Amino acid sequence: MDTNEWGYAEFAYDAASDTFAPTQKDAKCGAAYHEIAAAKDYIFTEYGHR
Amino acid sequence: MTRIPSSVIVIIAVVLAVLGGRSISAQDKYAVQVPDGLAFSEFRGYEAWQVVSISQDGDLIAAILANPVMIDAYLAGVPGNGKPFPDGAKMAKIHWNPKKMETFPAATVPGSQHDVDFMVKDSKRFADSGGWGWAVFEYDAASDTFTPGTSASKPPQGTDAKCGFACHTIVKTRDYVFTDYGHR
Repeated sequence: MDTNEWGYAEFAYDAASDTFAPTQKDAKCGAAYHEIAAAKDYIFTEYGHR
Repeated sequence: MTRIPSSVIVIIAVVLAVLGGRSISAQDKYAVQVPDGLAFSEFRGYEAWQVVSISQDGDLIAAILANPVMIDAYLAGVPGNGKPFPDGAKMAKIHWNPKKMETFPAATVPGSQHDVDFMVKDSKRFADSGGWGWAVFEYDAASDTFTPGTSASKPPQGTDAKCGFACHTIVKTRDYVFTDYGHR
């Protein structure tokens, strides 16, 4: 796949109707954004110490 | 007599020094206990508990976790339905010092841990503090150790399991629990 082996999705939530709806038409929505974290396998978030 | 090369002796010495240092410095956090209060070990496994919600609390950010007993109660409508959490319900609140995310500075994320706070429901054991026992353990990142909160903590902590009672009394009608289960 051309998104560095990750698939992405986003679902917007509407509290008034209590429904979720997709905001994208494919699974590439996060690929460009996550490019700056390429050195960490495209993952921004670290596991928080606890 | 067979001589052992000096380089091998040096390597062995270094390995022993490293292992020895680890065994001395590594803390078993589950051996820590508040004097006359709760033991860290009463909350064993909290690292994997489900998230109830997150919060920004003064200068700190936090995640509030709960054990399966408490999560089940939340999903059944407690405390909004007026019913109390059952005995065995446990919560953990992890506080971190915030920092800017290195790869995306617009985001604020957890930095070093500040402390972990616990509460456990046992209506008989803690009958004189709303049925809940509380504990605070401060975390020191430099030494990677937890220690019970003291009178110098914010808020100050006593040497018992009542440290949260006064603060949580304003949510007595919610069975002394501030946090709502976050929709997801």
